[in-house]
Amino acid sequence: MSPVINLITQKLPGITLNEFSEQQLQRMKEMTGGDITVDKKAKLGDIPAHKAISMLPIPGGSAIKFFSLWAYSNNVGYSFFFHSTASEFNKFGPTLTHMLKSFKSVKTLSQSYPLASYNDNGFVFRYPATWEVQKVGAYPSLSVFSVLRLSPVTHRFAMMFL
Amino acid sequence: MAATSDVEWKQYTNPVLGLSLEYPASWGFEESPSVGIVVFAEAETLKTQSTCVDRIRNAAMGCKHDSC
Repeated sequence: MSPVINLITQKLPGITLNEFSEQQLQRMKEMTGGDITVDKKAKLGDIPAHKAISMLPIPGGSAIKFFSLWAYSNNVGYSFFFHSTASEFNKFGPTLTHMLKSFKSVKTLSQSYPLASYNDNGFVFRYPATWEVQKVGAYPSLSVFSVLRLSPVTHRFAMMFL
Repeated sequence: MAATSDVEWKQYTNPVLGLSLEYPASWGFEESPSVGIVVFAEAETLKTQSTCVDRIRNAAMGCKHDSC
């Protein structure tokens, strides 16, 4: 089973970490059947958080292990989810721990238009979702991209990465 | 995955969601900033599960369809 880590952020003004955590706990109970261990002294970066672990037995004698971490700061609820077979869970623990420890809040910018992400072979950048990205050249030490708006008027930005 | 000291990390920063964190450089991500969801996984997994974000969004919205 390949690891997949999900992060969900929700704007929830006027509640507490305990209230947010309780909401998420109910969902986890519905999903995993109810036997959940909660640690209320966890952290997401520097933000206080609640961590929950649950096991769901599956046919054949093995089990799926579920991990959730819930944090609440500045009217935003953060939820991390990860699951794997119980036998493989510890293999991904250090990765999960590093990701959670490295978490930081950054200044929020309002989004005036939808953005898409280009993510390929080590290059990651964002561009307006209605535009297109074309990789126009790839050399041993140089990659060239065009970001285009095709209508109503064609605009093209060229980006080169050394 | 090997111990974290052997892992190369990349920085993920999303100013719309107001957060940053590190993830394994060999992984990728799929995001839906308008609904606040980011999925991190190995690049190959993201390719074969291209609807991850849609499935999570539907679950978060309470959709009970089997296909979600």
